Amino acid sequence: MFLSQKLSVVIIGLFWMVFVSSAPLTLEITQGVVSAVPITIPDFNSDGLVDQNLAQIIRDDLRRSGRFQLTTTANLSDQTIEQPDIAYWRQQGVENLLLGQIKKINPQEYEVQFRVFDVIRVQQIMGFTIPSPQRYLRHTAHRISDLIYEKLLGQKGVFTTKIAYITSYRQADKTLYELQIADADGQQAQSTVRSAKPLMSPAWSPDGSKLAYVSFENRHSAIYIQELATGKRQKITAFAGINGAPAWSPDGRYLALTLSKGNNPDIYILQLNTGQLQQLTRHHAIDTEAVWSPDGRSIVFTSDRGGSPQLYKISMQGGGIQRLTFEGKYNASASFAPNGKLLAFVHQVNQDFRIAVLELSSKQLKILTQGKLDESPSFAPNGSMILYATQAQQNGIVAAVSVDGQVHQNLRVQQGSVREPVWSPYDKR
Amino acid sequence: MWKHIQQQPVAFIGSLFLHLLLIVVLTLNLDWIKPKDSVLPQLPIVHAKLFDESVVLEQLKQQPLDVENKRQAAERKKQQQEKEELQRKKAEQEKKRKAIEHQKQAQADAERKRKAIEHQKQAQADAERKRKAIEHQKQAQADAERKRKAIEHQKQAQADAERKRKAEERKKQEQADAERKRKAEERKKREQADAERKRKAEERKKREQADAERKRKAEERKKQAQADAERKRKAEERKKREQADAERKRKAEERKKQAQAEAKRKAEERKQREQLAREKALEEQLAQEYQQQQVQYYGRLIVQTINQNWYRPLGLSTHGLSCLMSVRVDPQGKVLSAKVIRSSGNQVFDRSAEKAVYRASPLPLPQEQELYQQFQELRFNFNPEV
Repeated sequence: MFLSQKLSVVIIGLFWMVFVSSAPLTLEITQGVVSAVPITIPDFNSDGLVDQNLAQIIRDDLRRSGRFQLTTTANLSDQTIEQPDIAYWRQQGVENLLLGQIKKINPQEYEVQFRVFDVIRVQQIMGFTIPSPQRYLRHTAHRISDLIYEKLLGQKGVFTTKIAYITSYRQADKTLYELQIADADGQQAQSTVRSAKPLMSPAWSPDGSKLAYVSFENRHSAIYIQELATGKRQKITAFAGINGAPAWSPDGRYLALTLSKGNNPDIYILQLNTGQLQQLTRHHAIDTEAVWSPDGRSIVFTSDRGGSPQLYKISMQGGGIQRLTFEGKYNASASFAPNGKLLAFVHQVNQDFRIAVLELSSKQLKILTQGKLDESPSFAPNGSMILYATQAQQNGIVAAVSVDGQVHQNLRVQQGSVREPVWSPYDKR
Repeated sequence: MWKHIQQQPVAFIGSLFLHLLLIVVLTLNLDWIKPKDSVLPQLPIVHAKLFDESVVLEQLKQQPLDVENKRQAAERKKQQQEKEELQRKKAEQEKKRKAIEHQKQAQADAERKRKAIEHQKQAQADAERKRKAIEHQKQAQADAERKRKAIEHQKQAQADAERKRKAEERKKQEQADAERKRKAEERKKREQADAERKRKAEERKKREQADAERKRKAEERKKQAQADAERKRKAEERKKREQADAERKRKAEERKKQAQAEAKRKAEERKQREQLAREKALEEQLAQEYQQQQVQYYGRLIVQTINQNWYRPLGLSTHGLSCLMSVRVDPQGKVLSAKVIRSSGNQVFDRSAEKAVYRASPLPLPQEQELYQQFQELRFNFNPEV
């Protein structure tokens, strides 16, 4: 055995020598360092005409994603985007460099130009010129963030997407409820619906043009669909009992709902163009919070038919209902990852409710958050982050966590308590 | 001869008798011829042969004359008869003789004798005739004389007869002796002949035996010789074979030895070569081991450097991703080029690897120029474990 080992070593040695003499030395690189991508984004040359700091918006976007390490350097004003001194930046330890400039075309029109350099390899890796009206300059900055993100991480950015959420605040001894839509960074919030009665369960249509939500404005739950661009809305269901938890099918033609119709809640499917309703689950326990799988073939919902709330999966063709969660006594409010491989949901750990992900193939469950009462997880359209609501100083706030649990972000919300945030799909308009 | 005798006993006896007679005649004739004149008185002697006549005379004395006459007549007659008989016999004899002669031509002597006898007989007959004539002449004259003489003659005749008889006896004796002698002689001769024959036969036999023996011996010798020759031939052949074998063997041995020597030499050479090769290989191996160690050492350094400089973006799923980079460095380790020769399919991943190489530049390289050859082109397989 020893001999043969020795022999094999010799033989390997021989092969090694042959290998060495005949082919280039090949080395295996297996470690590396997983890290945020270092990038340096000096402020843009803006002719001093623009009050917005696009570079700062981009830096914030990238920093917030947790995937970039923003390094600051002395801003060399004499650096031009046309002839950057790469050697200088290299000396500064810069690896990726974004240089941009804003040119005013006319009083309302600007042109944003940027280039991204790989300082290590000494080459430009990206460069764009984006004409932009003044009011869209912030959006243009988010677009640049998306482009950089995609270029350097290989993944589509979500900086131009929106989030929707319900916020409540007290005003004149009354609690007001608003359905708001904001940029992904929580900025530029706009109220879509305001009501003195509770608003619940906003849901983005797959094309991002509409929102479905539950309103109690008539002292009774009803499901509405509202066009964002026009503000036009439509009451979809107002059955007796519960009308709740709407969810769009991936093709946008159906809405999954929770209806009790005076009895106990079950999942129904509503065909939107015909209004045809079909009961999907039929159980004496509560079945609610339906979400569609990205392929549209199945629905995952929360049911306490097992004695405690757990996630179940039912095929759209009907038939078998499959329980998905077994860990813990509470697993609810599921959200499908865009790739269909992960489920995010609220998972009870001791007395705390936290956001967890379940890998459907391996059944591995991973807890991502550390809050006491985290709720309503929602996947970003690129699947990198999960938006959720959490409690901070008795208030609900919007937070985000990376799918691997490494990056945590809280979104700034201007006022009130925020619940049920949902991440919009990519803008497909 | 016995055969002839046995076959013709009468002829034999006849001839014998004739012979005897002839002898007598010849004997008497000698006497006659020589003293011819004086023969006359002796005629009776001749007649004495006629033994009967003397008997007759005696009878005459005793008997009357007529008887005498008669006797004479009878005598004459008898003589005549005898004569005739004699002639007849002679003729027969002659005939026989002639037959014998005819039979035995080889016996010329006998023939001659017989002819002589014929002559004698002729003479005898002539003498007989003469004598008779004389007899007749002197018949008368002879009475007294005859008487006297007869007595004389008788006496004489008696004496003669006695003599004659004695001579005869003697003769017979002699003849018998001679015969015996002859027979003895013959026997002797026969015996001698037999002995001779026997001897000769013996000799012949011996000769034959000797011949046979010789022949046999010759045969044997011949056989022996043949056998010897065969043996010799075989021995020769064997010898040749053996020689050939030996030669072959020797050659084989030689060849073998040569081959062995060759093999040994070659083995030696090979050994030397191998030794040299081993030493060389050892040297090379040592050099290679050194190089190998150096290569491994610097390889590890390079890997470490690359690893430290390989920043993979956080959140990038590298599952199943790997890329192969070909990197050229100068002797100082400075990266001259780095290109992906097998993409992971993920640009970010590929770029991270590429950047890692450039970020790690200059790579740590050994000082030895010859080792640089092994480092001037490097390949990095970026294949994260997690």
